[in-house]
Parts: sequence; C-alpha cells; structure tokens
Amino acid sequence: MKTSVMVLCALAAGILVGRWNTLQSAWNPAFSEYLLYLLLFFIGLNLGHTSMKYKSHFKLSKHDFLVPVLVGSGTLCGALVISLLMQERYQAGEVIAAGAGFGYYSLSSLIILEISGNKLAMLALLANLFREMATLVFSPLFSRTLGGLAPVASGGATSMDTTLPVIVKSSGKSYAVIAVINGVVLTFLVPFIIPFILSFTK
Amino acid sequence: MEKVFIVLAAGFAAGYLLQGNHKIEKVSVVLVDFFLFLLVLALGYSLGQNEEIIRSLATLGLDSMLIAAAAMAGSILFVLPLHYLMGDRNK
Repeated sequence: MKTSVMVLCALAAGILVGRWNTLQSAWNPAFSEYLLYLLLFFIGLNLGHTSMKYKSHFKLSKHDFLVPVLVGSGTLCGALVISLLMQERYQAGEVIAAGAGFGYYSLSSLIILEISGNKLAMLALLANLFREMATLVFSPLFSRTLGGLAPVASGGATSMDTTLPVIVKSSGKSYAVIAVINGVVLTFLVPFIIPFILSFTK
Repeated sequence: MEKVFIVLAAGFAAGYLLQGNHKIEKVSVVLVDFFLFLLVLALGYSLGQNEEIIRSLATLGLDSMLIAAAAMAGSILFVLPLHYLMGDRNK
C-alpha cells in the first residue's frame, strides 16, 4: 500500500510542478526515455529472478492454470463492457489495454507510454494502481462473500507479490500457491497482450 | 516497440543468469521503485503542462476507477463457477 500511495503522490507532485512549470528550460524529454528503458531492464531482471523462484510451483494440476485464464478473460470482458460508457473519450481497445495490465501498474503504463503516449499511460497507471489498492482493502470482504478465489481474481498479476499477504490472510494458506501461479502467468502475459490489443486501435 | 521487448528480455536474461544472487535481487527491487517514482514524476510533469489533460483530470480519475472496478468484477465473476465447482480449498 505504501508504494502505491507514494506513486500517486509522485504523480500529483509531477502534475503540480508541470502546471506551474518553472523547470521547463531545464527539462530534457530524452531523460524520460532513458528512464523508461532503465526501468524496463530492472523489471525484466526481477521477472527473471521470480520465474526461477517459483519454478517448483509449476508442477501442479492443470486445473490451477484455469484460474489465470479465467481471470485474464474476465478482466478483458469487464473492460470491454465498461468501455461502452467511455466511447466518447476512448476507443474500446484503449480501455481494454489499460485493463490488461491486470493490476501491474508499472509495466503496463510503461508499455502504453511507449506505444500510445502520456494520456493513456496515466489512465493505465491509475486503473491498475486502483485495482491493486482496492484488492488490498477489499480482499477480506471478497473472500467472505464471494469465496476464497475472489481476492486472487481481484489481485490479478499482483497476486504473486504485493497482494499475496492479504490474499493469504483473507482466503487462507491453501490459496497461496494458486495466487502465485495466477500472478506469474498474468504478469508474463502483460508485455504481449497490451501491444497486441493496442495494435487494433487507430 | 521492439526496443521494449529487447530491453525487457535483456533484463530477464540477466535476472535468470544472476539468480541466487540475493544482493542484486534486493537492489533491483529498490531500483525499480526508485526509477518508477522518477518516471511517474516526469509523466506527471508532462501531463501538468498539457492544458487539455488538466481540464479532464477529474474525468480521467473517474474513468480509471471505473476500469479498475469493471476489471475486478469481470475477473471475480469468471472464477465464481470454479469456486462452486471445486469448493473451498481450506476444507
């Protein structure tokens, strides 16, 4: 929760400074580009570590792999439905791409920033940040009313790390492995599915 | 776009090769947060200079909340049958 709140604060601070720009002459746009690639490299590095750490988990029943498939398709369908309300502002593909971060706000907003620019990157950043924060807050409620898999589904790609503790706390230890599998599969899907969806937008 | 994949894959390969090195693992987690804050600051800065985005800030915030809610609702709805089919894992 601390990181997501700090990201929100950084975004707000950036907007405020940009609004009353005093740095304009000192600003170098290439700087963001270098930063983006540095960040992508280290995200890749973390993924490389993570995939090995959880390798032993992937000898489970095929049933377990149904969960990320359902969570992924449920997310895309949910985003498609809500995109109908936003037709004046965004194309359906743009809304679905923002949803297809599955809560992984850093990676999804970076990829969207590179392909579609600032505005959509901010939409993706916030949508996925809110998904993570809402999962952290509502997991106990989801688990009680909708079953133990609900927090795993709600967490999406974050169910393997940032939201894992709250998922285990609300759904029980027996949901830990499926939460990790769900998170790893969806995380690895993000860099492929977002460019694919955006390729259908104009 | 290809650059995104190349950089991501290079990082992945480095992480794969350096697995077991806990120091690098720890440092890279901190670096991701640090670079992310810088980049989000930069993103905010460029958004802040755009008059059109400033005017639509409230809509953008609301839209992103709706997308998050719809994505969560959709994914929970899709796993519900599985929950009823397979029962509670704790039992």
